[in-house]
Amino acid sequence: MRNSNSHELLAQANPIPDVNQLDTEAFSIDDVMDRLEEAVTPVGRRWAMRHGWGRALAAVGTTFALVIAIGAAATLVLRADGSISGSGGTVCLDSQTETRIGSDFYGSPSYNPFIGIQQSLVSNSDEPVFSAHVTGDLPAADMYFRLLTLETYDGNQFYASPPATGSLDDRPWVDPCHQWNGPAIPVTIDVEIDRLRMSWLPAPATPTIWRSTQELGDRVRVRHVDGALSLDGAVSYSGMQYSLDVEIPQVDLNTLVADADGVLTATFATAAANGEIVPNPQPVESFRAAPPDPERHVGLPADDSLRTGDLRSLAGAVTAGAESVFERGLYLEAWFHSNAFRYSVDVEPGLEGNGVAAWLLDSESPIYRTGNAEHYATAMAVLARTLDIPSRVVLGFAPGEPTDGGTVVLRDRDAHAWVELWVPQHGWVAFDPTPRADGDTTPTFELVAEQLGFDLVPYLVP
Amino acid sequence: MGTMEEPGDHAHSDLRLRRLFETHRLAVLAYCMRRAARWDAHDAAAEVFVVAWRRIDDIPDGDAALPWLYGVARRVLANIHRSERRRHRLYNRLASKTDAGVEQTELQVVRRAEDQRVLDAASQLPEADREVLFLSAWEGLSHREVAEVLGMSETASRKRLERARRRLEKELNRTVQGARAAESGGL
Repeated sequence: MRNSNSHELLAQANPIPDVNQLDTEAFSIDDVMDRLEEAVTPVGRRWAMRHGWGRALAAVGTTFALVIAIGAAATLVLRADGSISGSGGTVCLDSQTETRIGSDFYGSPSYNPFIGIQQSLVSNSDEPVFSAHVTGDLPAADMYFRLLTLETYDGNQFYASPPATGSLDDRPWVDPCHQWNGPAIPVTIDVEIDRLRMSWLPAPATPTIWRSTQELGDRVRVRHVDGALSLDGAVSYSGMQYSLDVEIPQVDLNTLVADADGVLTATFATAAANGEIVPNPQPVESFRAAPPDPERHVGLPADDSLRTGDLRSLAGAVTAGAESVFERGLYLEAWFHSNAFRYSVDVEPGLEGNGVAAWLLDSESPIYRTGNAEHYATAMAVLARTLDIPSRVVLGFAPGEPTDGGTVVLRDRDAHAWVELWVPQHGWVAFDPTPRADGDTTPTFELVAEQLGFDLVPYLVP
Repeated sequence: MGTMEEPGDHAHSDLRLRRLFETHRLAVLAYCMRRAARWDAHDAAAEVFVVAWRRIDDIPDGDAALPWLYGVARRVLANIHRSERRRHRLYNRLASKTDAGVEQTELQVVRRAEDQRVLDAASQLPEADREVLFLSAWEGLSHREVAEVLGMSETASRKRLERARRRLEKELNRTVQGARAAESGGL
């Protein structure tokens, strides 16, 4: 067995190595019976009420990152020789352009954000791209870092159309209609850039305060749909440092297991009926309306190039039995983690044209249900849209490797893509459909199961 | 909901609970004491059997009963701890020399420096990682049993244990280097 040394050390440190040493008088059946006498009400509910199940996913600390994106007007090209020149046009997830990560730069050699990262999504490189020190009540080792969010889908790819950005003095950084509504844990993140060469600045979730001694503030732009930070007319460089105060969203299971009236939704009601201990359902004041501009968040091609009807049937079948948006998100995410899918970095990037349908539906296709984060994130975001759930794709980094108390190093191979769905209790909630081979990511259904204390998977099948 | 009525035949349940209690009470108490202060541990252990009584029909027979009870204990402790609002402190407390948590257990464990070091290292890991490590090293559970406690697949628990061990190893190496640097006058 690997690492038997640490196992041995830990075994030796067992505070109670032999249970027979315990004072047997100290714990008698009467201690249990006394408690039982006051207990008569139904199990799940009473238990839940007494213990206030399911506040937040605090200790597990996924970022539930919000969004990101594009500096609007001036788009730039960073050439392989390091020079920067301007260019117009939309930023998009474009798998057609040839790029490579040279020894001198990392990231996007053009201004197309997905291109640089597309290389990294299939990379095994240990190249450190940045490090982050986290101060606060969440473990750095579980933190996702987002670069940007792609919210527009044209039938071929997700891309970030240029929305409004502002300077750091422009408050609020995130438009109220996109803001997280729910519990959050404040942390401070100190970022030091290593090989990352992008105008996007990695950050978990939604920053509220920016600090840097390097007088970068004038160049930093904030994207108002998500609070994403980017450098205007420049790219990050080795040694660049900045510090952010960030509110890390925490899902509140008490409201997520319920409908707007505080009644358990179907999946969680089934679990409760099976004797599982589920959170005490609570109503929220009001469900949030989806953000404006639905075309941007639920839009799919009008013609049938995507085979939208077939995809909708599939999404409906996978989520049969789900009642709420949150449940549908969990069903879809868990399905991508089932053995119907395979993780592979050896698949052509991108899902152009009818690629999503081929990937999901055509068992004859060479790419059938096989791929990396880009395929998974794209497929889940599209399936959600067929169910009229607003979705967007997030590009960034899966949790890095802890090196020192509270510090993590993010490497090329950590580059990742995941999905956010609009969940009316909270706003944008992250889901991670990719069954990565390295096991460093944690899908939302697993975090939720961990918080609930029972295996959720049996309840997430149609 | 199927849980609205009292579970099973009362007398039968009562008997089975008493049997379960006699067989597993020390293991459950030890589980709780390894992870919480004495009073919390006793409370938690009693609560575990309250849950067991309510769900007596769900409890698997034989060897599988103990992992099931550990799973309940874990949630009970998480609840107790959540009410303190800082779940990870449980483990910090456990790992901390000065804290009363473990020192107040009836055993009055005298901890060797080496043990302290590994507990300190473990306290740096995420909660889920620590729990698989402890279940394996302290409760001596197999992959399958760990999976039962945590409500995950055996493959997932195996993966998580591997990862947790790597992380612990790394953390230990780091502290060793730190200690050496300190001994030699530091860097």
